[in-house]
Amino acid sequence: MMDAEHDSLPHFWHLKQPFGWKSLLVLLLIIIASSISAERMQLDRMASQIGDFALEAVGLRESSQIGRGMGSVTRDMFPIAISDRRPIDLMDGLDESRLPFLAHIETVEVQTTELDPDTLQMTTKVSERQFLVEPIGYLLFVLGKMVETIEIAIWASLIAILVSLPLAWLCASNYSPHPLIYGVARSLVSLLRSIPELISALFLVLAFGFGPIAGILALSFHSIGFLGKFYAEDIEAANKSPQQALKATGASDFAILRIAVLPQVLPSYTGLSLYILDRNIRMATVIGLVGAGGIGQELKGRFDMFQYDRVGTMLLVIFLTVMALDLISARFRKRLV
Amino acid sequence: MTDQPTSASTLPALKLSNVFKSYKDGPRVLTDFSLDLRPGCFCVLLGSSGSGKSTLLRCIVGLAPVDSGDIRLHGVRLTKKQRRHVGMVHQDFGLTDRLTTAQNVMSGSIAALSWWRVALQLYPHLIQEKACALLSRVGLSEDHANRRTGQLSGGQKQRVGIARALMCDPSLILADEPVASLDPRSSADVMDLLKSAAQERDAAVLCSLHQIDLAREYADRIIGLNNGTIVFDGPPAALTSDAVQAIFEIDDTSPTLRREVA
Repeated sequence: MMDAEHDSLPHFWHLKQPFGWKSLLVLLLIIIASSISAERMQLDRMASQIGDFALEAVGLRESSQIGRGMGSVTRDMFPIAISDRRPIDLMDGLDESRLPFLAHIETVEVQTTELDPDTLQMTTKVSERQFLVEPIGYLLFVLGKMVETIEIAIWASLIAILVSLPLAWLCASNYSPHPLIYGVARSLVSLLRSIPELISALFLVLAFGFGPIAGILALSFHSIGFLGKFYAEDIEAANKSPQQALKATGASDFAILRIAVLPQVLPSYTGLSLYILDRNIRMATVIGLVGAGGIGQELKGRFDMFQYDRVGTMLLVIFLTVMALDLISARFRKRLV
Repeated sequence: MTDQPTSASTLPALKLSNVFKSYKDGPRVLTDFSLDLRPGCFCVLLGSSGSGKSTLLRCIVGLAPVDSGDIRLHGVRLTKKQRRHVGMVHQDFGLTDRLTTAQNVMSGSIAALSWWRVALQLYPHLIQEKACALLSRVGLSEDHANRRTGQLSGGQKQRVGIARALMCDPSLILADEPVASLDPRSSADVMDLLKSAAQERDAAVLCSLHQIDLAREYADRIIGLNNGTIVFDGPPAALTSDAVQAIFEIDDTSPTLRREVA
């Protein structure tokens, strides 16, 4: 057999081809499956709607469904709301000599018609109503909410990092003190990772009430699931040589992890933690939709009240914040890793 | 002529009796292995790769548990706590590259420290002074001490490895192919250092090597290992080409090795 192979000429050798009939069959199956799925997902309708909208945009069609749906929203969204104007009589304890920053009071004459109960005639009354006008009041309010959102994200990340560090020890197969503890820790981490933030936030709002507590916990639960897994995998993949050297001196597992493993995995841990912070800031803006604090709570409220100009302000602030944080974290990462 | 008769009154620095060791599903590496090592003796374990040198050293230091047998250090059974008095130099240095050189050296005494000192990497003043003294002994400067170990050359790294092994005031120093990844010049430097440092402390050295010339030059005693059994035991002068042949099973090995032996 061996001799025959050696004797055979090179052009008789069988060389592997990049693809054959099997790959074509697989490709065919994929095409069939995706066309069935496309039918179920109404991708054809999506294409026709987008096409209609494109035609409307270039002026070849009068109207389209997307145009009608988005038109009113976008019209209402711009100009975005910067100022705030509230009637004073609804505000308790406003000290008119010490108004908020840049604020002034506007007096408007309001005509109201009402039925006089004695004469049974319609009378027009002129009354004065006072409004507190803050020129950049709403923007400041949104920025404050954004800061709250970032605070939620930072606390969630901090808690997640502090819990994940010891948890990773239990989740690393080569350092876990007992197979049972390893199994429990691994399943806990998988469980935490498998629950989306919005779902856990729904339940945590029931448990802790509306506000940032539910948000912080929901975000940190998910982050622990993520960090615990990847911290542990870094421990398992760390260079064994320094660990063995320390073990030979009779050092404890804790000492080996601290001296021989932690310095090795630190760059990777920094990267993972920064990613989690970045992700948590983005998620913290969403999590308010279910009442777990932050800018999302305000966003949902204004959206439901069709105040799209205020929604626009918030979307702009969120976009600018995420962009700024992207730049900052990129710079931070470069310096640290 | 292995152990000098004068040391018969003192206990051997290291005594292995009837050690058996096999790896899971693997062949038996050490079979009924026994060995006595006199204090202050520089003993070289000579053998090709797979002859059981590394396994023997790993068994002594506790990195690989023995199946059965007795290992004693100065007559005391070697426990985890006893192993603090065994220093070990590793083939691939075993240093944490991202720590400073001084931190790597001080980690040699980590087993004796409390957990909070470990957690904060706060070494007592005495240990810091000792690390400085050892680093200067192995020929490194204050500048080296505060640099990350990853920036050092191979020869410098192995000096750091030796300094770390000396941190625990060892009476026995194990060296597992300490110069396998070094060039000839650095190899000679490191072997010189290992030998002189051990002599200063009257510490016994058990050093595995595969280079016959280095073994001849530095050893007081050579133990030839082949397939987990001792095939030669004697001073370098007694290492004849027949003995080398027995150690390396040289019958049809490469001509380079033949030339080296001749």
